[in-house]
This record gives sequence, structure tokens and C-alpha cells, in this order.
Amino acid sequence: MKSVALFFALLVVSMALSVCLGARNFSPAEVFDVLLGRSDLPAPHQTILMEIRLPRTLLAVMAGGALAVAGVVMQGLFRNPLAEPAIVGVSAGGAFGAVLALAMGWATTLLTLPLAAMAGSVLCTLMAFAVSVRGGRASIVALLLGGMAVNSLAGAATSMVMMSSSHFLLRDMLGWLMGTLDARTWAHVKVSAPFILGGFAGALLLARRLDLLAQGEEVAASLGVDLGRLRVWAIAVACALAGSAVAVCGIIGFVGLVVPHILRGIVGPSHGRLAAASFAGGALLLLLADLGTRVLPVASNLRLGILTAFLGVPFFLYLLRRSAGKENYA
Amino acid sequence: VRLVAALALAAACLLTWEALQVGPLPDFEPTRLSSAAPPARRVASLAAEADEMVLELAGPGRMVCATYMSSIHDASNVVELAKLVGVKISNIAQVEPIVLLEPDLVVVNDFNRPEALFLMEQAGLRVHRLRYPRSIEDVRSNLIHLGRALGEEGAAARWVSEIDGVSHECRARTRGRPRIRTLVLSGSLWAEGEGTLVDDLIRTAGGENVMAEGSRVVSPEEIIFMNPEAVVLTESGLNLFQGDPALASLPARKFVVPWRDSQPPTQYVIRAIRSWAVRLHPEAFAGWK
Repeated sequence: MKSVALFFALLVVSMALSVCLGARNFSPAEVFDVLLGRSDLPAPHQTILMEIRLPRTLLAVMAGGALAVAGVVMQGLFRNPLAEPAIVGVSAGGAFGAVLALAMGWATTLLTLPLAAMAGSVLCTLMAFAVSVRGGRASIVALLLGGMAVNSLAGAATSMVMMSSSHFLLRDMLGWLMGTLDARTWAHVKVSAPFILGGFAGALLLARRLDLLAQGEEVAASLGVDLGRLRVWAIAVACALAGSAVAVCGIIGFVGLVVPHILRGIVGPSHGRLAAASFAGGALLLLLADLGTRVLPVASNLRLGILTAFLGVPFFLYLLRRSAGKENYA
Repeated sequence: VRLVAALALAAACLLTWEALQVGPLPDFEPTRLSSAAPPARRVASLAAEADEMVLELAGPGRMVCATYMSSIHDASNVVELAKLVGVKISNIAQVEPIVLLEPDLVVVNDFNRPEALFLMEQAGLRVHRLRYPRSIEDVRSNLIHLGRALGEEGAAARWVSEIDGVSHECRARTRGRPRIRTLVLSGSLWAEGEGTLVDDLIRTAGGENVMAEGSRVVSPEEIIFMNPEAVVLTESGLNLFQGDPALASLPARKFVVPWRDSQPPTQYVIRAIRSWAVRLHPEAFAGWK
């Protein structure tokens, strides 16, 4: 429990840093004065704090936390440490929805882009899930294979739309596909918050059943876990969490894979504690990555998804290497 | 765990109501800002065509930033002037650095994200949006509106008059002559079709666009099937043509232009009309460069 509290304490410190640092640095006293409405800073500077940095910081926390908790749920469901939300098509579907909205010119209002991405995520997850159901029960192997097929399909459709788009739109599309928290508003926070908080609550409520599933399907079933219902709820929770994060931030890889892994070694395998710690850990990772995109000297073209991939890929390869020593992947 | 879950669920329910209240963004019309406002003295350009227009209408001394595109020779006609602008913006979606430059006018185009424009307006910045031109008339309109916002109506009017003059003369000199079947490839094999600035340029210069439908990537087979008499293409397009034996054998006249001249949405449209007309109908424009 102490380690979970430590992660939340680190998260609070990082949130303070994220609000204070940027193109112009603000002191904590200046931030408090603005928050309390008694600041004499110029109005544009107050706007930067209240309308740009605060929503951006909150979105980084929510999206990072959501992706990590979705990873906990997927790894628990598949009983595989290499599982993450993207394997059932959440990210590829979100990418297709967003790219299509940009290509068709629908993304002229604040919410059409996130809503299109969300719709793509949900649609692809439903497709992957639908092909996995046999006789009223979802097969894990079929879900995995269905997810791979849907990922390929959505990837091909995204490429097709991009190939048919002018170079003006391509820059927008690529920016979104690399993940970003630039120009995010309170509206993005408001739209994603219900899904993320609801998904987090769902993950916590599923935790005990995922703990039992970790003992094996037969054991879990003999202890009263309805495996079919658990799979449906777990997929729904992971889709709400990861889909809403993808909808407001674009594609951000490896948070859902890396964070639960690191934290499992620290807080243990209990899914309740792991979900809570992963929320803080994922939020911390994304917050620091976003801060990096804003304050690093080379950051003008460094996007969020690129930074998290730089952090995540070496760890993923390390995991593969370590697993290869214990299991036969041939 | 159940207590935290219950609290998260309650917060989610409360925030659902907030989410339902989120409305659409206001639209940003060029005319909305320019008429009554004083001429801008500190202009932030966040679009490549705005770099060209503002730099030559108002001068670098009145610009607080330009886009990174203004430093690229193949993409911009104002590289030398742009060197006098201290700040180059590469990520136009980052609003903070732009707000801190304290511009009194931000010039954007249709491809700037609406959420970034929304935040700039919230920070009290005047935002002037250039419409992406789909015809020479649209370029004229952008120049007139931007000239007004900058207090440089006279200079803008001179350019508009020059556009009208060149267009009129080209139409007059090519009247009665056969239309040259022309294909314009910007980038590699991206063909500009009906309803684009390029389409209007081709027609004004005395040609006929063989890409009758919308703009898209075309295959070498399609190009051969279209059988254009003239192809306007960029350096990368030429490399593709030379590398493909079938395309290389196409009898069409090939004109290589820098990328910045393949569809110039600014005052440089004047140069494009002239040079395309001369190349398509050299006999009708003797003495023109």
C-alpha cells in the first residue's frame, strides 16, 4: 500500500511540474494566485495556465492512467504479460476513425475528431469480439486472432485513406497518429472523463475475478466466476479506457504494456492494487513524456507517442529476451 | 477497492452531464475580424501562404513569427525575407509559444486545427483565417481580406489588379487556340483535379485539365491512358517519370517547376499564370518570359 501511495505522491509532484513548466515557467505562488483568482499576471498568461496547461495536465493524467489500467485488464484477461489494449484493435480502430474524419472534412468542430476515433475503437473491438464468440462463449485464442485480423484491416484502411489525402491533411494525420496533447481543451477533458473514470471503476470491480482467473480457468470457474461474462466486461472496460484515451490523445503505444509490468514487480499481482498503482504509474509516464515534448530543446517535432515508444520499446525487447530464455517461442 | 470504485463511478456519472453540455466550436470567418480593427503591428503567421503574403505586404519588421516552411527554398518564395523574422514555428498546434509572442494578429489557414484557434481566441488573440483557395478568385479574396487586416489595402489591391490583368491577357491571347491537354503533378504522382486552384490556373493559361475528376494519386498506367500533351511536375515527379520507361516514353512536353510554384496560393500565382501560359502556348506569348 505504501508503494501505491508513493506513486500517487510522485504523480502530484509531476502534475505541479507540468503546470509550472513550459514555454514560460511559472512559480508555484503564481499558479496558486491564478487558481485563487487574485493574480496580477497579464490575462494571456493566466489563460495559458487555466485554459492550456491545466486541461493538458489533467488529460495526460487521465489518458496515461487509462491506458495503463486497460493494460492491467487485458493482461489479466489473456493471462499473458505481453497483452495490451491494442491487440483487440482499439488503437488501430481509433486511428482509422480519426484519419477518416480528417480526410472527409468532418473534423471542423472540437469533438468530431475524438468522437470519430472513439467510434472506430469501439467498432473494431466489437468486430474482434464478435468473431471470437462460439456458442455464446468468447474464446480467448479466437479473440486474439480476430484482434490481429481487425488490426490489419483497420491498418490497411487507414493507409488507403492516407494515400488518397493531400499532403496538407497528411501532416495533421501523422501528428494525430504519433499522439499529442497539443491544443487540448476543457471540452476534451469533459468528454473523456466519464469513460475513463467509469472504466477505472469497472477495472477495480473486476479485479477480484481477474485474481481468480490468474489461477487458471478451471479454478476460477469452480470458484463461481462466470468466464463468459467476465470476458465481455473486461473487453468493454478496456475499450472504454483505451478508446477514450486514444480519442483525445491519438495513438500512444507501450504505456499499457510497460507500466503494469514494472508495477507488478513492486505492488504484487493483485489486480486491485495493480490497477490503482498502474493508474498513477501510467499517468506519471505520460505526464513526464508530455513535459518532455514541451521543454526538451529538441522537442519541436518530438511527439508524445514517439517519446513513450522510445521508453517502451527497449523495455518490450528486454521482456521478450527474458521470456525467450524461459519459454519456447518457436 | 470497492469504495474507490464507487467514488470513480459517481464522478463518472456527474461528469457525463458536463460532457453533454459541450457544444461545437465557433467558425472563424476572415471578415469577422478585419473590418473595424486597427492594422496589425505584431503578426504571427502560422501558414506557409501567410508567410509569403504577410512578409511582402507588411514586411518582416511587423512579424513576430513565421512557419518553418519559410526557410525551405523548394517550398517558399520568401526565404531571404523570412531570415529577418527571428522566430520560426514548426509545431503550429502548440499554442503557448504563440500566445507568449503577444501578436496582435494571428494568420492561419483551413488546415490549422480548430481547437488551437479556439484556445488562441480564448487567450484574446485576433485570428484571421485564410480560406484554402480553390480558384484564382479565392486567392484574390484572401489578398483583399489580409490586406485590410494589415492596413495594406493599397498593396493588396495592386496585386489583385495584376492578377486580373495577367489572367485577362492570357485568356485573350489563347482565345480560339486549341486547349493544351495538361496534367499537373504536385509531389510525386498526386494529380490536381476539378475544383482546384491548379485546375483554374490551367484553364487561365490556355490549357485543359486531363484530370477531370477530383484530386488523387494516379498510376503510371492512368497517366499514359490520359495521354496529356503537357505535364507540369516537380523535381520528385520528374525522377519518377525518368525512372519509369513507360512514362519516360510519353510524348508530352514536361515542365519542371519548384514545389512552391506547383500551386501557389499567394501573390505568386501571377508568376505561375504567366509561366504556365508561356510554356503551354509559346507561339502566343512571344516576348513573355
